Amino acid sequence: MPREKHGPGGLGMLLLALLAGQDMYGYQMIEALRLRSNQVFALKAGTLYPLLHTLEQQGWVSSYDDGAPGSRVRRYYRITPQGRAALEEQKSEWNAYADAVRGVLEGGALCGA
Amino acid sequence: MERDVIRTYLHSVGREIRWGRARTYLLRELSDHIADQEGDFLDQGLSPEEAAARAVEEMGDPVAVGRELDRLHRPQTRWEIVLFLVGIVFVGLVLHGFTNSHFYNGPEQYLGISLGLLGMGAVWLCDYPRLLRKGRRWVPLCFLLLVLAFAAACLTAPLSRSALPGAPGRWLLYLFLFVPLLFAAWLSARPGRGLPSLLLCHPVMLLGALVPALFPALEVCAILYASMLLVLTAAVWQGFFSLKRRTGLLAIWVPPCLLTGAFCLRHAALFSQRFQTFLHPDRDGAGYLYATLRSLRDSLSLFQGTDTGYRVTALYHDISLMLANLASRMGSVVFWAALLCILLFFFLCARRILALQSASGRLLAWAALWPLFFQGILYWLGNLGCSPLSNVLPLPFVSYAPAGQIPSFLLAGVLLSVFRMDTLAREGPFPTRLTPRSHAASIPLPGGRLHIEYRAN
Repeated sequence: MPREKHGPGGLGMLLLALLAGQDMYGYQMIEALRLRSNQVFALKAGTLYPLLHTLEQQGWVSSYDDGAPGSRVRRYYRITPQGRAALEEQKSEWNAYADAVRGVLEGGALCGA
Repeated sequence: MERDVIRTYLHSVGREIRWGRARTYLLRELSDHIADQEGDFLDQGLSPEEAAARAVEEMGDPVAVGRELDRLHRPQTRWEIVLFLVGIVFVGLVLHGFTNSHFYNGPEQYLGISLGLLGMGAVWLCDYPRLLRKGRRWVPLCFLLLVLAFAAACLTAPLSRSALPGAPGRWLLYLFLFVPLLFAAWLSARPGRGLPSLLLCHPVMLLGALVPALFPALEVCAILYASMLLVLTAAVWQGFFSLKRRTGLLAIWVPPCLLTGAFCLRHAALFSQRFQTFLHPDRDGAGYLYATLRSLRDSLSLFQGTDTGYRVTALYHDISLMLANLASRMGSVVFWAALLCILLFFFLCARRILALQSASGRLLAWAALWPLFFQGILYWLGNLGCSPLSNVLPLPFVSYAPAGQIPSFLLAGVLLSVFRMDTLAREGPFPTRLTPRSHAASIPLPGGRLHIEYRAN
C-alpha cells in the first residue's frame, strides 16, 4: 500500500472528507463510503485500517475510545487541523484534475483554431 | 462455532504482528469491527453462523492485513542519524592521529569508543516507554544517590580540575549529564497542574544543576541548568501544566534571569575580574590561554595552518584543545567543519523530535539532545578562545577518554530509542471522549444535502 506522502490522495482523501463532517469509527466509515459513492467504493476492513493508521501516524487524524452498545469500547477517529489543511489542498488538486479530464472528454474548440 | 471462525481469523492476523503491545489494541479494533459487521448481517436475517462467516469474509485476507498492520506498528530506526554518528566517530579517530598530543592513548580511545557504541546499541534497543512507566518512581532516589556519591567523592578527596583524570569525582561528574533525563522522566509523570507546580520545578532544577559546582565544574552547571530550562519550556509548550503558554514561559524564564542577575551583583567583583580576563587577556597573565587561542584563530587562513609554533606548543599537551591543535596544522576549515557537524546533528535530531507523536518521548529526546549540543558548542567556543568558561567537557563522540565519551554515546542511544519506539509509544490508555461533543449528520437529498449538527447528552 503506497504511503500517504505528499497529500491524502485517493482513498485517504475520501476518508478525511468523511471525518471532516463528523468523528467516525471504522465500520461506520466503510458504510458511509459505500452509501455516498453509490456502492462504487466498497472498502474491506483490511484496506481501511492500515490506511487510517497511516493517516494517524502522519498527524492528519487522531483517535480516541468511546462507548459502544454492549459495554464495548469503540475506537473513533477525528480529523486534525493538519488533516483539514491537507484535505483542502488535495480537494483543490482533485478538482483541477477533474476539470482537466472533463475538458478533454467533452472536447471543445482549440485556441486559435 | 461462529466464535471459532472469528477467533481463527484474529489469530491469523495476530500472528503477523510482532509487537505484543500493538497486537493487543489492533486486534481489539478488528474484533469490534467484526462485531459491528456481524450485527448488521444478523439484522438482515442471516443465521449466526452465516453472519459470522460473512463478517470475517468482509475483512479481507488475514495474512495480508496482519503484515500491513505490522509494517505500520513496529519500531522504526532513523538510520541517517546512526550513520552520521558512525561517520563522526571514524573521522574523530583519524584526526586524533594528527594531534600528536602527549596524553593521547590509542588503545584507551578504542576501548572508550567500543564501550560507548555497545552502550549506545543497548540503550537504542530498549523499550523506553516500558522503562519509563516502571522506572519513573525511582527518579528521586537515583538523583539522591548520584548527589550523595558525588558529594562523598569530592569532599573526602578534594580535587582540582587538574587532578588525575581517572578520579571518581570526574567519572561521577560526567554522570550528571543524565540529570536532565531524570528531570524529563519526572516531568513526564505530570507531577501537577498550574502555576505552583511549575514554580516548584525551579528549586528542583537548581539542585540538579548546582551540585557539580562542588567539583568545581561551572560549565557542567551551565549545561545542566540550560538543558533543564529548555526541557521545562518544551513541557509547558506541550501543555503539561495546563497553563497558557505565555504565562508558563514567563514563569519559567523570569525567575532564572532575576536569580542570575542577583547572583552576579552579589559576586560582582569576581565576575568582573573573570570577564576582564576573558575580554582583555593580553592585560592579564591569567589570560595567556585566551590570548594564545585568539592569536591562533586570527593567524589562520582557511586551508593553511600557522607556523607560530612556540605559541601553540601548549595546545599539543591539552587534549581538550583538539580543534585548535588541528586548526594550527590544517587551517580554520577545522572550526567550520566542526561547527557544521554540530549544527547538522542538532538539526537532524531536532527535526525528528518535533515530529514525534509521544509527548513524553519528546521531553526525553530534548533532555538527551540539549546536553550533547551544549557540550559541542562550548567545546567549539572554548577552542576559539571565545568561551568565558575556561574548562570544557569533551567533544561528544570525538574527544578523548572513555569517561567522557561513554555518557555521550548513551545519550545518543536514548535519542535513537525514542525515535525507534515512537510509533508504539502511548501516553497510557487511549484517550476517551469525556465531554459531549457535537455530532454532525449529512443526509443526501434529491436537491442537495441536509446537514444537521447536534450535541449528544
